[in-house]
Amino acid sequence: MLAALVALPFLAGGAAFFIHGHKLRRVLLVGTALAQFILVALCWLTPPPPLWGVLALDAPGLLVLSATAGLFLAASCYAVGYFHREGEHDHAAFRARLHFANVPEAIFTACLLLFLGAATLVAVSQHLGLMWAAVEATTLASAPLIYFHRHQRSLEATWKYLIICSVGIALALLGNFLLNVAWQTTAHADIPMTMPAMLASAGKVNAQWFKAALIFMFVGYGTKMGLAPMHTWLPDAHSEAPSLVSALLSGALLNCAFLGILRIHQLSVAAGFGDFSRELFVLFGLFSMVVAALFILGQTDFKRMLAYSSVEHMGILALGVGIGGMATFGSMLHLLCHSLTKAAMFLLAGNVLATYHTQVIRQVSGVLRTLPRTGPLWLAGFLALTGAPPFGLFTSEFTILRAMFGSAAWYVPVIYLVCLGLIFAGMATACLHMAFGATKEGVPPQQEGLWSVAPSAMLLAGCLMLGLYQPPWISKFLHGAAATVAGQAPSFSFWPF
Amino acid sequence: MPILDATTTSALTAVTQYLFDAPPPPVLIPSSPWLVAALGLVLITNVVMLASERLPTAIRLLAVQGIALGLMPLLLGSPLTWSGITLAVIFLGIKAVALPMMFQRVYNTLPPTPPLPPYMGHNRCVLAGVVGFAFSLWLANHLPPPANPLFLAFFAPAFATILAGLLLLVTRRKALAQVLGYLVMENGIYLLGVPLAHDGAMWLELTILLDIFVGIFIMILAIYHLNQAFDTTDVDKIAALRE
Repeated sequence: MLAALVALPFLAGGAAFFIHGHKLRRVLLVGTALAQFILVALCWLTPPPPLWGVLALDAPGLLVLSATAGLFLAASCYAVGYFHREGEHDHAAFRARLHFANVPEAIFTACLLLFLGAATLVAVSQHLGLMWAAVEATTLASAPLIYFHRHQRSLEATWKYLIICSVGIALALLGNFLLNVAWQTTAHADIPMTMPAMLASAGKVNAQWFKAALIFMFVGYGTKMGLAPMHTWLPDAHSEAPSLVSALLSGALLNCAFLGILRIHQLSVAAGFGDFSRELFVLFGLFSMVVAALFILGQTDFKRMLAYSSVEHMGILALGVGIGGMATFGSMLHLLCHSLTKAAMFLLAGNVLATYHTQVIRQVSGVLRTLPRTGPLWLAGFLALTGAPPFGLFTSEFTILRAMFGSAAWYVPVIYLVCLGLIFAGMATACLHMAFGATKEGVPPQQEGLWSVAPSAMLLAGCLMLGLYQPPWISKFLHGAAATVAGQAPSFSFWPF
Repeated sequence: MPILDATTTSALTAVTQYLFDAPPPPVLIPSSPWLVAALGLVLITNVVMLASERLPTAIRLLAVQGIALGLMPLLLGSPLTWSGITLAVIFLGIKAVALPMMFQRVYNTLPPTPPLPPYMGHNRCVLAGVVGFAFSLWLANHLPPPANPLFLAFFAPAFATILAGLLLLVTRRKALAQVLGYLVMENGIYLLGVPLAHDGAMWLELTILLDIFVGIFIMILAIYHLNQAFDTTDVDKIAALRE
């Protein structure tokens, strides 16, 4: 089962390189996404048996895996419409007035599938070294995706992404080695770097080496997750990548890196340094929120605005885990809801970009009338993203806020609320300006295709449902994931059914 | 290579004096003279690379460093095993041959440009590298003793190599030189992992190596495109997205 989960996208990705027919390749993409989705759904019904001692699925892993598989299905459906629209011919760049060509569709599809494979491997890996390799593989698979539109800006973004994330990930590798040293009690002890083995022997670790390892891993995976101040690659990569790639980066890739940090947190709790790592989480979380708030206010580019919103939400995820208690549950819920909403918003932003040919907020207005299907969804997505009531993100943000009172210093909820308020104001100015207002001259109203709105509608519906009604099996599962992260439950005891 | 100026020389003397006048450090020196030589070679290549102005020199130094690193599994003193030999061959092949060749190839395809001065002068780079090594030694002396004594012997050279790589990465202006710095940093991390390696985890080392190899390959491809799109690989001039 696990072998199939990991192998399927890699094999399909390899095959996509060699398929010449566009139709067949697109069928392969959507088919693989669907098959992967079904396999993940089967994992929910029966826990898959561990494989080779390094692959196993626990609650946090399943959470990230489900978000990834769901998003990938939505993104691959969107991709069909997207490829259709883009064609393969050269066309004039609307920004910078440059001529550019696209990366061949075969390479793009193959990299999408390889990215899915690498992200799946991150989610099911219980071996820290293997997990590192998989996280690095997600970087490598997604770099060509960001460079889909071959022009200077996307190339610059790809370059920054490669260099910053590679250096970050290299620090995480250093952290892995130090972790190995911390666990060594005799000179030539064999340290199995698997989670169950390390958790079991966490009581005997060397404190100073462990703390050093923790910091390196935190900074390393934090770079990939987009926590400030290591977030600088994120707005560039997200704004220059094609929208469906931005959706996957924000909704799937960042979660994978977060899972890496959660694994270290699990070890940290087991080794008795839970407070130390929780402080790190709160510190980076708050700082990310502040940075995001500052850059969202007065942002002129709507894709960059969404990218900074990802920095904000990653900050909230980290903060939730740092607060602990119910906030950890809030964080798990937040992960799911943020993935759904942000992916939906990026896909919608793609529709807006394709119609208006600009990413500048001021130059977009009247989306409600010009794009009658995208407009209302864009507004709903804006409300969801800023944590407005009926949506799931409200529930999770409120859960985290409630847990703050009593268990955190007074300034933590104050900074949290001020940042949320500022971000609401900043995004409201931009999103409302785009949605309402007069229609643009030269941009006639048009009917969007089903492929380009249905995925977003489904994702937003999911987020709405999580806000209105949480089925008991979902909340049981999220509590299970939170308990695993907080070190209060053995990893494999909480299966939803 | 530039000749060191007076300030640098005096600072270097001060650092050396501090190192040798201080009480003998408890850092363990590996028993095998070959191992000491290999570690020394890594350190020397670091410093010369920091001083080197031309990319071809740096690429050759990278190959030399690759040889020293690739031989490590064989120099560890334990009886030779087949897995150790295989690893050494693969590492030598990639770190000492394949990667430097890739660098040289892309260097040859790029149009010739005069060397760009680094953000920080070469002398200061060398000085910072030496200070980095001194700091690594100091750190190794003040760390809690790890269970594996060999790790401590590797720690100072490895950490100094990581710092040198980071230094190359942030001070160089040409994209290719930055990737070179990244690779030196990876070499340092690899060096730190050498004493921790054991037979069971060969698949892991190979996976990591593959990741790094593909990573460098993609970066070099990106440089090729950067040069076509911008007519330069000076990263100072590639800054449309700055906020």
